[in-house]
Amino acid sequence: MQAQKEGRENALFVIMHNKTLEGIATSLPKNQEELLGIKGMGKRKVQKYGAEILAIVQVFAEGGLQEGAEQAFLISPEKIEKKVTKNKKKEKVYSVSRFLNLINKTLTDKTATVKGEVSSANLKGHLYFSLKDEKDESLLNCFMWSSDYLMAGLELKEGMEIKVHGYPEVYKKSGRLTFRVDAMELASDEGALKKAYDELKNKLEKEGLFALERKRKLPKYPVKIGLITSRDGAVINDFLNNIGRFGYQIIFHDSRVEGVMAVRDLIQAVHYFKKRKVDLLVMIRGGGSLESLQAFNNEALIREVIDLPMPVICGIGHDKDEPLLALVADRAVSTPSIVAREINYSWERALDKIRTDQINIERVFERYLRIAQEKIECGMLCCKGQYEEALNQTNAVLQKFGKNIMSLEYVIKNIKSVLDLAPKTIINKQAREIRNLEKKISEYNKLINYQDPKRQLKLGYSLTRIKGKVVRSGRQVSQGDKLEVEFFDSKVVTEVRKVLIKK
Amino acid sequence: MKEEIKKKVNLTEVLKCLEEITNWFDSQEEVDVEVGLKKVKDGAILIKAGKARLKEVENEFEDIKKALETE
Repeated sequence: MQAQKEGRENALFVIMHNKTLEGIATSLPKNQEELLGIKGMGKRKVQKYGAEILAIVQVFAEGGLQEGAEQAFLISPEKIEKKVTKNKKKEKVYSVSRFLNLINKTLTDKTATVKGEVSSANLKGHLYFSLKDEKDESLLNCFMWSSDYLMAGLELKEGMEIKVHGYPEVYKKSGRLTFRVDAMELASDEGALKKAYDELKNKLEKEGLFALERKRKLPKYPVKIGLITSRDGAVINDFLNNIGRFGYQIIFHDSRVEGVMAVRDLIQAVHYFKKRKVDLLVMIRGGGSLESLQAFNNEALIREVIDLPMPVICGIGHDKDEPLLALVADRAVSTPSIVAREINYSWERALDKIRTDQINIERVFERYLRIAQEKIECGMLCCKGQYEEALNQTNAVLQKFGKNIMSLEYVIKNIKSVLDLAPKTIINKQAREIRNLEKKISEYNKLINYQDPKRQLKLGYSLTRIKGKVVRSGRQVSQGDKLEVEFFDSKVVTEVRKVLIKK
Repeated sequence: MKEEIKKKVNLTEVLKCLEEITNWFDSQEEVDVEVGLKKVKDGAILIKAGKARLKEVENEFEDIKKALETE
């Protein structure tokens, strides 16, 4: 009904989901606290529609459904109206403390940034100060925890124009309204900001925090990258669009980068990364005036960044004065896209080197291949030559061998024929030789027989001997000598009567 | 002489001796009957031995011839 009064079409559907309605129907809440306990019922919804919902539930619980009706929305509107009125009449009575609690609970949501001039400041453990309106001198009592004050990096002085962020609260013991400040920054003109900037710069410089020697080199081939910037700013897209695809793991921590709360957020983000192992921390923000970049000139933040274990690269845009955070960072460039390029650098170089090496390897490999190919071709030619030579030699040997075989065959044939003929030849020769021998022996026999002296005796010749010696001449004998005459078949002894010598 | 011839039983040697004997007769202007007789006796022995050896050779030869013919 309330929604319909507000002129919203499809009111039931718009106000809450079926699940929430089911939750209400199941649990049948009796008061706002119980209603708040149902999922989907927030403070605002309870505030706006709680009375009516409770009335509907109450009527339903009392059995107030119309006849034949099974749906809650068919409960008579009049009954509901009555119940709402009745419920509203039952105004709750609070104790002071509970009431202040209720107020403070409500006030907690009323966060705001307030600008004013510091009229009094008292640091008693924590910071108590007042802000005065420059026009009508309205006064706002402020309280700040000392830790927050330290984080703000400001030395508060009377007359200083500042911006504070926080929420109002009624201090229960005094009943005074106090603005609980969680962050503050200078709201002065450029001159004052510049003065503060220069003073801090000198201080840090004296400490040697800008010295090149203490700057760490950005790691080569970073993988885990911490990123601190605002989720809503344009720079995050600028950075992400420019960071290469080298398998980075980007761990993002959202932080306001401008305004009173920026320092607090940035320090929280730095704390977050301090405990995490990242190769590199990136802090980026778009360009701006000295005032808008105040957070990056905050001493507390600067000291937290110096204390980080990993190198820090800043990409904070600026006109004239470089943010002090950029001066202490290990590397500082002017835009997020350049930060991305710096991170990409080692990877891109590696990629270039890989490409170059790849080309070189291919070239060298091709050269080796060519040389190898030439060697193979040369070797093949050589082999071919040697093969041909060997083939020729083999052929020659084979031919020769063939010839030899033929010769051998011829010789064998010859030998065979000789051997075949040999027996005949030998036999013939031997037979002839034997015949010759026989003939010779026969001839010798004839000759010897012919020479045989006894043959002469047979022919009628005789041998005459005197005293055993053959008588060859008559002069060998004398008258009266006894001669022995041998015939073929006998011997005769005779005496010499007369010797007649032939003249 | 007999023993020598037996020992030799070499037809070539036999022939050589016989040739020597015939040459001896040819070279004698006046044959010493006694020596000539001895030479004739030697020659007769040589011829006998030669013939015997020749017979043996002939027999061996015949055997060989038969062996060759049967192969």
